[in-house]
Amino acid sequence: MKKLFAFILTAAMAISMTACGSSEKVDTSLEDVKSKGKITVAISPDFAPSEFKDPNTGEVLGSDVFVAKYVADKLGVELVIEEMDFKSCIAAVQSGSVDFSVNSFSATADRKENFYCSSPYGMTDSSSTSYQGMLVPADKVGEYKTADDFVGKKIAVQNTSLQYDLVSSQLTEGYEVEFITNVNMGATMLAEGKVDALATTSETGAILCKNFESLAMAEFKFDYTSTGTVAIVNKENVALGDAISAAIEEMTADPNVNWTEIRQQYTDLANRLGVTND
Amino acid sequence: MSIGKILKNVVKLLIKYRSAFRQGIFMTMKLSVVTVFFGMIFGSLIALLKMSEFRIGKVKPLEAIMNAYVAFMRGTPLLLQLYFFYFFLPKIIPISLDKYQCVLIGLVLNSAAYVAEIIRAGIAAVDPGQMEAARSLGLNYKQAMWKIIAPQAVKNILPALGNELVSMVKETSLASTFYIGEITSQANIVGGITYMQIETLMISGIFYFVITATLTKLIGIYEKRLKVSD
Repeated sequence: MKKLFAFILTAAMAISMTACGSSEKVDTSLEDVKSKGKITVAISPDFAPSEFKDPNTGEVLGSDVFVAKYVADKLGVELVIEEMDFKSCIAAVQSGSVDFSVNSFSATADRKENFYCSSPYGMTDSSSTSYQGMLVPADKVGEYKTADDFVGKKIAVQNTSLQYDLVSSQLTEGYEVEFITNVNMGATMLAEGKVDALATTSETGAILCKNFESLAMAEFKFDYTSTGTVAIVNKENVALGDAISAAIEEMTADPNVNWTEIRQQYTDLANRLGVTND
Repeated sequence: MSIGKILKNVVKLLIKYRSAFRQGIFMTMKLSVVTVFFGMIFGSLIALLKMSEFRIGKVKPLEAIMNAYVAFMRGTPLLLQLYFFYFFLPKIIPISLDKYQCVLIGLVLNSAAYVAEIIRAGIAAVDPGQMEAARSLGLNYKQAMWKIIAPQAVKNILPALGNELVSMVKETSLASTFYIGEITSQANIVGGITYMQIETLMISGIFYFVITATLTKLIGIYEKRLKVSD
């Protein structure tokens, strides 16, 4: 009786496996979104001015939200924003829980391998001066000039970020990494002396320096040419990814969209919603 | 930063964002109460199914399944369970679920497992002599259970349920990963705008403590009332 049962089970498995091999996957990602009439985007609203929330109304705002809305408008669908922390945004795109994510992602080689990375956005005149670097205590700026200067130091990096890749590939061995879930927390830790440095972009660093007077960007810069910020889409949804890329390219070429102005607009809004540290 | 400055900022934040924090407190209470309410219903169901005498051959499948379920939900971190329910539930279930429903389902299923265990322990704590006495008086198993054992078990179970509610208030903070809008989510959002992480952490801490301390006090009063009959 047991043997018969085992045989039936094996036969069932064998049959189901052959059935799996013959299915053809057609890419209906774009049509699915258009027929649903809405597109879902994963955003982590913990960093102004790219993405943040008005604490009293709950509205999600920011330059990345602007990009997502522009894309949705071009595709002719409604935008649905799903909020979750940074690494969940990546997981959500991978698992298909959302259609795409706009969260100041850099197009790293790793991301290009695992995701469809859209055309870049947000390249402005200042992007030629922006770089990847280290935020450190203002009185220690002179100590951090080269990759060797971080030996024996604790460096805060956001989990699954570009900065983590740079730290692990470019710094001389002997540093310690402290993972953080969001950049603000990292800056707080730095200001309180819990870590020695925070790996971040110069733009972000500038914003943090304004809010934490004891911090400044170190002289050390990572060797990295920015290929811009991108939106990420699930690798299999090429049709949807192409449509999103086309929308983003339109946005970059749109004379009515002045990126520098938009960033400034959201920075001012965030400052108004925030409190001054006096 | 000095303590004085931190406290000044705390007051500033409490005033400017009182609406956001108020919404957070409501959401935490809503999530906790709804979770424990449905957790009690499902937990009781699980406890009943575990006690069923239904057999297939030598095996009691209902008891086995329920034991596995309870062991798993109590043996894995709630955060993991929330991630699981948030990402995978919409894929398995044909109905469309928003993030509140996914998170609530995860919390309820977790709470139900703990409640089932509370019920089991509450019943086991009743003196076995009571069952013997009931049976020797001529009551069958079902009558003994409902009329003699259960009322006494309730005295053990209710305070433990109160503690489950207090635990759940704290555990809802894990849902902040999905910005569900409870106290911790709101604190994160305010922190993101103001760059005052330490102050927002203090504020969440104060809120959670006030809520749990009040609940604990109320449970204590209720427990004293129950003890009167001893």
